[in-house]
Amino acid sequence: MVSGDSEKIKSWERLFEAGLKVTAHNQAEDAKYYPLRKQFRPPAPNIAKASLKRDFEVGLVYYVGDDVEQDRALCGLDKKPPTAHVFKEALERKRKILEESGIMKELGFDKKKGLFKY
Amino acid sequence: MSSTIVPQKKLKEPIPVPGTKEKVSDLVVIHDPTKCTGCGQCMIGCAYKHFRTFDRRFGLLYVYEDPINKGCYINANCSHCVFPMCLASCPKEAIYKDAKGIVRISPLLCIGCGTCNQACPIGIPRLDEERKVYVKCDFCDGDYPMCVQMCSSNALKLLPRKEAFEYVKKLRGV
Amino acid sequence: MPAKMPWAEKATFLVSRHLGIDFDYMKETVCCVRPGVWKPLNPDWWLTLTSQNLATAEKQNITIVDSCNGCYISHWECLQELKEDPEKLEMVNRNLEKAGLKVTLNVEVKHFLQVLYEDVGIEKIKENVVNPLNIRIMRHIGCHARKHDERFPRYFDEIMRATGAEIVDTPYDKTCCGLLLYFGDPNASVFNRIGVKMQTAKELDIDAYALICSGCYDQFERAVKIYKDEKGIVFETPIVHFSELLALSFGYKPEDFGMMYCRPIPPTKLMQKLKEGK
Repeated sequence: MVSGDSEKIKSWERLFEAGLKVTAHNQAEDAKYYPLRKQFRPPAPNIAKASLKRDFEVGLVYYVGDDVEQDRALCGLDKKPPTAHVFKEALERKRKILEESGIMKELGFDKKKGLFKY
Repeated sequence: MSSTIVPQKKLKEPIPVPGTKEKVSDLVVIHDPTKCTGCGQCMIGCAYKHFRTFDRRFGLLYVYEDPINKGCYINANCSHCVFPMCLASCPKEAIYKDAKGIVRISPLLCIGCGTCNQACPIGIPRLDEERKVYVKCDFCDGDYPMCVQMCSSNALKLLPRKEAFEYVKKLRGV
Repeated sequence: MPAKMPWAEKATFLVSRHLGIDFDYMKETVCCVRPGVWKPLNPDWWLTLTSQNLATAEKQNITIVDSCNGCYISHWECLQELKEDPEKLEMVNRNLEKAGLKVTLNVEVKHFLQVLYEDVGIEKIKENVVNPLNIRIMRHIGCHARKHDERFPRYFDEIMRATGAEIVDTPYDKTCCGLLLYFGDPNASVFNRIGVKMQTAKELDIDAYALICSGCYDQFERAVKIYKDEKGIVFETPIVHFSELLALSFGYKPEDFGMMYCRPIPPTKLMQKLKEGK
C-alpha cells in the first residue's frame, strides 16, 4: 500500500525510542511476562511523546541549543529569540494552563519526573 | 470554482428518501483533487480519533497519489449511500442505518467475511486486523468530522447532499 | 524559525524594515501548538493552548504577523472558531483565567505574504528591487497557505516574479512537504514527498528552492539529511526562504543576513551565479 514499507528510517526510529524512554510503564516489557495481556495505545502516541515533552518543558517544540545560539549570532541576531526561551513567565503561564485544564492529567504526564505514565 | 461552505458542522435531521422508508444523512464529505496536497492529515486525524495512533494506514478514508497523474491525489471516502450495497450484501445483517442516516457496522455482529468490501463500489469497509471485524467511516458520530477539520488545504468539504452533487458535477465538467 | 532558519528571520526583518513596515518581535510567545498533532488529540485543548498567544498579543496590543504557514493557520483558525462559537470562547476563557489571561477577540492575525502584498503593495516592492535576480527557482508554497482559495500562492508568485526570478512549474508544486506524515508514515513523507521534489529540482537544474513556511523547511532539512546519511544521495539545490531572495534583490549582500550558515545545503553555487550576474 505504501511505498518502501520495508525500509526503516534511522532518525525516525531514534525519535520513536526517545518516546519510549519518557514512558514510565513499558508495555513491551510487560508482554514478556504476560504474553496474553493485550497491549493498548496510550493517549499520547509514542512517536509524538518526545516533542510533546519538550513542548511542556520548554514551551516550544524547537529547542535553541548552543549551536543554534552560535548560528544566530553569526546571522546578526540575539542569541535567544524573545519567546518562552527567554520569558519564563510565559512558560509558567502555559504550564498552569496545561495543568488546570487537565491536559497533563489526561495525557498522563508527570511534571516532576518528566515522564508519561503510559 | 466558487462554493460557499455551509457553517453547519453537525448532522441535522436525516433526509427521508421519497417513496421509501429510507433515510439518509443530510451532509456528505467530498474531496477536491485540484486542491489536495496529499498531506495526509485527514487520515492521521481519523486514525487518532478511532484508533489512537498517528499511523495513517488506520484511517477510515483513503487519500493516495494518483498512479497515472503524478503529483495529484485521489480519495475514497464513505458517502453513506441512500441504498448502501454493503448493507444489502451483509450475510449477518451487521450493517445498519442509524437514526441519523449514518451507515454503520456493528462490531458485535460482524464476522469479518469481507462481503461488504466486495459489494461496495469503492471498497470502503476494511478489515481491522486487531479485532478481525470490518470497519468503516461512522461520520464521527454526527459531529464535525475530524478529516474535514484537519484538512490543511480545504480540499475536503462538508456539504449538503444536493450541493455536493452539483460540486462534483462541476469538478468533472459534466 | 528562530531555531532552524536564523537567516530567514534576519532577512524578514531586513525586508520589512526596508519597506517601512513597523515590525518587531512579538514577545512572550509560546508554540502555536501544531494543529496537526493537537487537533486529533482534542480540538478543545488545541483552542486553549493556541489562544494563549492570542491573549498575549491582545495584552501587548499588536497585530500578529506569522511568516510560518502553520503558525498562521493555527492562530487564524483558532480566532475564527472562537468568533463563531461563543461556547468555545467561554471554555477557553475559563481555562486561561487561571493563568491571568483573557481573550476578547480584539486581535488581528495576518500572514507575512498578506502584509507584503495587501498592505505594502506589489508596486512598492517592484520599485525597491535594485538588483534583479537572474535565477530559476522552484516553489513550495505549503498546504496551509492554500486554505484561502488561490490567494496566497498568487501573492507568492507575483512577489517572486517582481524580484526577477523565473518560476519553473512542475507537477509536484502542490505536493505537501510531509511534515505531519513523518510521525505516522516516515517513508512516504520522506521519499514520496521531498524525494520527488528534490529529484525534480536536480533534473531541471534549478538554482534555488524557494519556500515560505518554516515547518516545511524543517521537513526539507530533515529529509535531505536522511538522504545524505542513510542513502548516500546528495542534493545540491539550496532551500531558501522567499524573504532571502527579496533581501538579495533589494541590494543586501548574503553576508548581511548570514546566508551561508546553519544550512544542510550551502548555497555556494547560487551565490556564485548571483555574483557573476552582476
